[in-house]
Amino acid sequence: MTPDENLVAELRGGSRDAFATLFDRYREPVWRFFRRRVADRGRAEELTQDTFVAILEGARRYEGRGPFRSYLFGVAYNILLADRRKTAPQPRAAGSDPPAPAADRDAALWIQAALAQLDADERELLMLREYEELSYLEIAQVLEIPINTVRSRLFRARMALKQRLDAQRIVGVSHAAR
Amino acid sequence: MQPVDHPLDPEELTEYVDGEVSLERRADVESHLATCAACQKTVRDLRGVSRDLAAWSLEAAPNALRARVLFGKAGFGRQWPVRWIPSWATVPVLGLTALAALLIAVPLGRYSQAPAIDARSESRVSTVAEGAERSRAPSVTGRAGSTAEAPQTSQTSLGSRIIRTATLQLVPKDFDAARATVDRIVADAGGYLGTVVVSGTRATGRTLAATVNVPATRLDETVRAFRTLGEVVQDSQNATDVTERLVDLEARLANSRNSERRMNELLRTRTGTLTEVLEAEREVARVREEIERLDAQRKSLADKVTFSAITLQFDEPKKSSMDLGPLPLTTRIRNAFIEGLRSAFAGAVEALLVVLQVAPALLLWALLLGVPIWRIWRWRARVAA
Repeated sequence: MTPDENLVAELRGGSRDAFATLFDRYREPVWRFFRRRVADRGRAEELTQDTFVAILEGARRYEGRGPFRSYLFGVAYNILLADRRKTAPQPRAAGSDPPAPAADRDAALWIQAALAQLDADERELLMLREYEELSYLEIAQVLEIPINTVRSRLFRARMALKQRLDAQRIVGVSHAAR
Repeated sequence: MQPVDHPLDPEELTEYVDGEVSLERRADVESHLATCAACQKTVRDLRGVSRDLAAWSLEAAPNALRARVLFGKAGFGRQWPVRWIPSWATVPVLGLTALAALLIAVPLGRYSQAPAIDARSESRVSTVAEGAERSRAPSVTGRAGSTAEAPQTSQTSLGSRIIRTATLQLVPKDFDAARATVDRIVADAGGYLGTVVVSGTRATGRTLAATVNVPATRLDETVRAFRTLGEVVQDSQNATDVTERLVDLEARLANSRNSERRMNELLRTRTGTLTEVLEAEREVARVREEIERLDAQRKSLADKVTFSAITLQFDEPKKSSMDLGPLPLTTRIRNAFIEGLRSAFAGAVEALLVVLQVAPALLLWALLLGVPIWRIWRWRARVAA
């Protein structure tokens, strides 16, 4: 498999095939990144498209210092922030993205409800680790925070989420018992 | 709360779970975990959170996304290569490009209009010049005698997939010979006859309507061969770019196949209630049906790209005369009378025309000959007296 960085180099030379390979490789991860964070499916689709267009435009600026994967999610994260700023006027509970449709709707709602109760920074960090499967270094680059902060916040986020999930389990069990 | 003599930070357990702990530190963590029940529980909790989060699965990305990003106006098509030019250089570069295009276009225009070039080479020049335009235009239509031809190949260097069709209507020089020649032309091109319908009689004039399929690369030469069979009445060609449709179909097909594979895997490995299993099997059947439908569409489109369809029509000219039997006597008398009047009138007109035509010459000769003859006659009369 051709490394991402080589494909970017080919893309700089105008290779459509290289871009198509990068797109096919990261289409689903980028789509899921937005789909889990944006309520509207159409908007998630647009933001996914915007991300690849931004990659296309910025290929010359990509210096290859870090992995392409973290660069890609950095671009996606910035696009997400810009979109949130643009659509900010409607008040929302802290960090509560409305639920996105999922293959297993019950599980998705349960997870989303617990995630929504986390601190916004911790939730973002946890999702980048669990869903985008970024390394600590990549998360630090995307969120522009020190790597030690990633370590400590990740532990806190996981333990906080566990508490929320346990609380929901207890509520669920007590409802079922009635 | 960790005990005072606890050798690990809780964050190190997170690193351990995520595979981020260094190799040398990993052995320490594992030896501690072997004896510490509290840390074992923490590791179990951390892994449990990851398992819970994994339950949030999502639907696949929309199929149309690929076509839009790779071929759409907002994607590769628009961005490349203009966006590679720095913004400050856009205007000068575009200006220079326009100037270069002008310098090339002007001599080409003169060349294509030069009268000394024979018909064949002129046609080739116009084909080259029009090629790019046609590749964008959805339809190219010409009338009888037109030299319009679509691009030479149905697949461009960028991998465009183009369906080309042609329609040709002509009046053959010899209908029977033309019918036989059609078979030979099609066989030579490596194509095949789709439908052939011959209708009408020799008296009323026959019509041949046929659908011919030939390899897309040989469409032009086949149409040229057909044109030689008679007088062309209508000649049109059409080119439709189906690249995006094919790419979209292939992407949807790949996604459906992935879904089918995942569902089959789940059916094999997961257990559930009868209702759930039946529901899952129904879903698998639905996806299978979708795959077959998409595959059929893709093959049909691909076939149309590979083979071009020519709609051919030959119209034989009418040769018969009308025969309605003997006319009634009264009609014949009336016709004869009318014919007589018409002849008399025509004769009078002819006579008048003859007089008018001859009179000036007669007058001239009368003047030329009459005066000497009159003088001779008078002289002879005087001598006789």
